[in-house]
Amino acid sequence: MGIKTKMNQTGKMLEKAPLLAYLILVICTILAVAGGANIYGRIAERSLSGSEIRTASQFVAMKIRQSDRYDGLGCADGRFYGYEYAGGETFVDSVYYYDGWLMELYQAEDAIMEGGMDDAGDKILPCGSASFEFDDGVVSSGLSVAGRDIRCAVRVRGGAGR
Amino acid sequence: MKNMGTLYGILITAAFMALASTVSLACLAKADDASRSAYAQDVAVGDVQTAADLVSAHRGDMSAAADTLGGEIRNGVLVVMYDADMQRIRDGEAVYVLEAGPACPDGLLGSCPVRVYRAKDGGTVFGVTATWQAENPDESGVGAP
Repeated sequence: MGIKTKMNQTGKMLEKAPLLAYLILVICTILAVAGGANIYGRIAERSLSGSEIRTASQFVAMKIRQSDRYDGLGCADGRFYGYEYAGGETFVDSVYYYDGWLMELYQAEDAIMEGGMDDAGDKILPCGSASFEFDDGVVSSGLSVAGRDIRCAVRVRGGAGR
Repeated sequence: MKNMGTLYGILITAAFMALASTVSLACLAKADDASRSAYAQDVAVGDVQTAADLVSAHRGDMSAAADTLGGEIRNGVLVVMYDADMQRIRDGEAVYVLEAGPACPDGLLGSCPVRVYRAKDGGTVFGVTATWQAENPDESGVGAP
């Protein structure tokens, strides 16, 4: 009688074993998917953020260095201006913040005086804020990109800003 | 007996699934570390270039560079501390450190190393040498006619 009861108990346990195995399978899948998605999300976010930071700082540094090699540069009202003389006319390459974007606008100097052209620039990348200042031979920029404040300073070798 | 065979099959599948999950999570964790390092390098490149330009513009005057860049001066070396996410910190344990200096004036040319390194093992994430022309080369006596 005792042996029969034991066999019955073992039989019942064996009946539950597939259920337990399936449970392990489901838990493993959930862990792998949830954990994996979480890690992958972090990787993707970091990659995008790193790319935006790199693009913003290198773009700004490149613009400053480029203008330094041309015909002067300057900063006013938190904007950066790079000057270029071509065909007897002065053109200005402006980099500034407008409506959540870092913008660039290349136009004749006379057009700047008229103003109101901010929305006509090219959108470079999404940005929380941007400001530029020229002091003591160094152009400093403060950008807020991908939720991070970036400070980029470039020494102006050519000297005078406008 | 047939049921036992099915059971073994399920158990083997579950064990394989557990192993596969562990391996894939381990791979993702490694990718996470690699991504963290790449992000640190992205930020380090920009900050090192900025620090080098500032030190160079101020001809090795670390205090003037610190005014713009932030950070503190320790024994003539400009130090900026970062956490694991490359956010600047003032106190606490730094995971990454930007170090600029000490400045080495050498006649007409001044120079100093600028680098970001891991605090744990001192491994360099990114580094350059900032150089500048001495303001008053005559004072050093080198390069004078």
